[in-house]
Amino acid sequence: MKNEKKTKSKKAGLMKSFRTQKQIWLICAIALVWVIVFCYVPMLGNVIAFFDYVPGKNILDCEFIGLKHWKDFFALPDMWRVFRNTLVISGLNMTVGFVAPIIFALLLNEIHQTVFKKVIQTISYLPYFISWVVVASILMTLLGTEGNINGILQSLGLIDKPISFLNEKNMFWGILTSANIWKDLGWSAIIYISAIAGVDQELYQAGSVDGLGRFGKVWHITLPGIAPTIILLFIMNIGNILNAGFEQQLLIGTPLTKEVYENIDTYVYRYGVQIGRYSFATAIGLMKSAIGFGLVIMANKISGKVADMRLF
Amino acid sequence: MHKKRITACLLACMMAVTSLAGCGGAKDEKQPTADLSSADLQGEENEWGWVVPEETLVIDVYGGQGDQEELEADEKGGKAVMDQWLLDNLNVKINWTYYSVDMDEKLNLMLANGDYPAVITNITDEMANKFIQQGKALDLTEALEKYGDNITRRYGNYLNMLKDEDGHIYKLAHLWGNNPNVAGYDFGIRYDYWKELGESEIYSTPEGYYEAVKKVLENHPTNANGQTTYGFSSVDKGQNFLKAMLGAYGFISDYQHDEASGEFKHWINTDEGLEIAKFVNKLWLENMIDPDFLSVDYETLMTKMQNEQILANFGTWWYGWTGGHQFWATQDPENYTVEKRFANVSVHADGKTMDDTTLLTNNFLGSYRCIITDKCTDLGMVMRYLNWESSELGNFIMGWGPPSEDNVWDIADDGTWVLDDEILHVDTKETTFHAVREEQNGGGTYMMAINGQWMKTDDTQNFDHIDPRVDRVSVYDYWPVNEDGTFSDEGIQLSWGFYTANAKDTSMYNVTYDPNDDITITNQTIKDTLETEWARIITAESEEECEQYFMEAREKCNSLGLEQVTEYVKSQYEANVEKFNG
Repeated sequence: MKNEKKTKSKKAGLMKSFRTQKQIWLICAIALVWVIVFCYVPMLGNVIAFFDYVPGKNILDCEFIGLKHWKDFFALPDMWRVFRNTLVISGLNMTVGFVAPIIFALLLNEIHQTVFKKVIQTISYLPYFISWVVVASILMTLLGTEGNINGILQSLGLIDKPISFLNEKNMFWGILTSANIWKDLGWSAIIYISAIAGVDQELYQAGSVDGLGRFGKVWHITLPGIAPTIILLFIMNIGNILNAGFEQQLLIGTPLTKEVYENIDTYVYRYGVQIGRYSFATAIGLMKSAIGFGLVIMANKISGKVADMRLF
Repeated sequence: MHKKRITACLLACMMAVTSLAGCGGAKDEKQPTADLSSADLQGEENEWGWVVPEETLVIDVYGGQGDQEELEADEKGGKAVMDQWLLDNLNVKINWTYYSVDMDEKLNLMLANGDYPAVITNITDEMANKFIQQGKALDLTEALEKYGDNITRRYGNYLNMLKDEDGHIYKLAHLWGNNPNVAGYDFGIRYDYWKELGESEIYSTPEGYYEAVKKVLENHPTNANGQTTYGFSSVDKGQNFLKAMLGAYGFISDYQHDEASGEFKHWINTDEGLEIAKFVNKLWLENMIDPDFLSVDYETLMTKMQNEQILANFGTWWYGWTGGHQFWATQDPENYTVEKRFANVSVHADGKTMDDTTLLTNNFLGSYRCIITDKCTDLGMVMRYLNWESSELGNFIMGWGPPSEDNVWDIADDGTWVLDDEILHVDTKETTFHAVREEQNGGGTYMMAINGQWMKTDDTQNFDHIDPRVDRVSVYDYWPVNEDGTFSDEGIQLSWGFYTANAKDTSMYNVTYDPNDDITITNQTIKDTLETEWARIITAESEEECEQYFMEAREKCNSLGLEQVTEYVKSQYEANVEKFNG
């Protein structure tokens, strides 16, 4: 009885919203149609994950294989190494890579010379627009045995023989995370910079009256002020825990570092897309999305309980 | 409420199923046939060996990954010349389509939405089979019997290899033919530096090669920029070293084939494989290999070779050309002498002869195919055209462009296919031959399913008309020669004079993997594992470690199913031989 009432009131609310905000709904209509057509309808294609799908063949004529692709995936000898690498690479991106733009935004906020601040901000965006192919090339120039880093280390007498950084598996995660941070730092900081701009200025004035220094203001005013944004982005990022990326790994990785760079994305790219096993690629994509979705729900609930902040 | 939910779920499921069913191919699998009657033309063949149809024959072709805008822009006008020639002389119009995306991806989409043209060429064997299995490729058997005399003549028994279990032919090779004695894997060295050593004979074994490169490196430890020199580098993570060495030992596509017993052995399971690994590891341990070889790309390698930092090259022969004399001759002509180049040398392993090697292979059918799809409404006429294209004259015109005074070749009164004197100068070949042939006369832009190798007179074909001043003539290239068969250009003779390997026919070793078969995944897993393991083996820090890594790799590959893959390769070979013999 209660539920029925609730549903009815929800429906009435929606209808009311249609009536009272029809201009806004009209503006959103095209975007909504776009989202439905390009984001939701293609989801139906996930059904091929359960079939031995051959392009061009009617799906009903394809053999139904149920969960075979997942079984195959988990039966692979290197699967746990692939999972480990995925979690470590995205884990590093979600921790170090997540915190770095926040720190950068906070530091940038402390610069009071507007021109200098804008220059720094603009320069920090640029790497985002550089393709991974170019980044890989830059890394090879920097980290090769004849690269700048080796040159510096040798001239300082810190090493006798050049180090082939890109072939050192112990350094790969660090190099990859650093490259990811360098590339995305400025771009990812934009949202925090705008969140900081939205913090009430009177709070800073009050803080000054209460004797807060610059660090105190950051800690007690700015950070709490942008906390909802941080939590929101963190919850959304959790959904990407199994998306470690493949471009950068394939471009920077070498056979000697494959043990630490092979992750679900590189694996699916090579064994799904490159050799035309679309059902397999879909199955793994679906698994990643399902796990990601579950984690987002979980993180949202935890955040609601612990910090009283939710995404939905 | 509960009922509503069930109804909603059912509707959603129905929508999903119907949408997907709609997206899939609407037709059931069948083997389409086509009416050939319209190709029974009356009339005589013209000077090009073609009976001109009354109605213009229009053929729509998808040719693979490429730049359609560039093709249509036709800035040099080569396409227009060829288009006009085909229209004026054959009454044929060919509409080529290229897409910038990967061909396999595009073909899968085409299969899914049923939107593909009448002819698809340059397609992999696996993709061609997909079209055939789904009944989207036409059965060419009857058309070939009626109108394919040039094709059947020039393929000989190799045509049998394209037949399915029922003896029907649904696909042709895209570029086929014999490649009896041109370039393959080699063990190259800077010729001028080797000459400095004053040795009377050039090396003929890997060990001799090692000695020679070692001495060259001792004489030239740094380049003009003061950078350390190395013997070798790689753009494919050291696979070039492996492939060249396997060639010197006579392996075919990674396998050792004992013809007497019929057994196949993968290199990782052989003693020779271990010898090869130890040899490359020795080069590594003695700092003869560029330490960055696992992450070098093509441009970087070229720069290193051009800067004279890499003084030898084993694997892909032409790296030594593009990174060597072709660059120095044009970019640094003042310091260039004809001997400043990489010599392409063939070697054989100890205990083997040059005839045992597989440095140079000849795969008659190649790896790519041409199919005529069920969208073709005039199979007979398209087959007539493909047959004309496979005539000797058609083959030459498609590769070199229409004969004329403005082109690089013309037909003399006595029927000789005479080459322009200007193109006999090898050092200006890029502009006098390649540019004119491709850009101004459209040669090479219209090849659908023709001989792409050496045009040479034998039992199946007659190319006696070709200008006797050239040899090794293919649809792409040629080399001017002296009467004794040596290259007339001094530099070319220096480069290829030491290459004495003979081509090994590897056509029977073609293996096709179906993407959905488990064996494909096993094979791919092993290939990937070996790529990693090979790098680990050859960069081992001692010979003992190298052997240990080799044995570990062997065990790993065998546990992954190498035996099954080997059996599969063997079964494919046996099936090919059986087919070939009819």
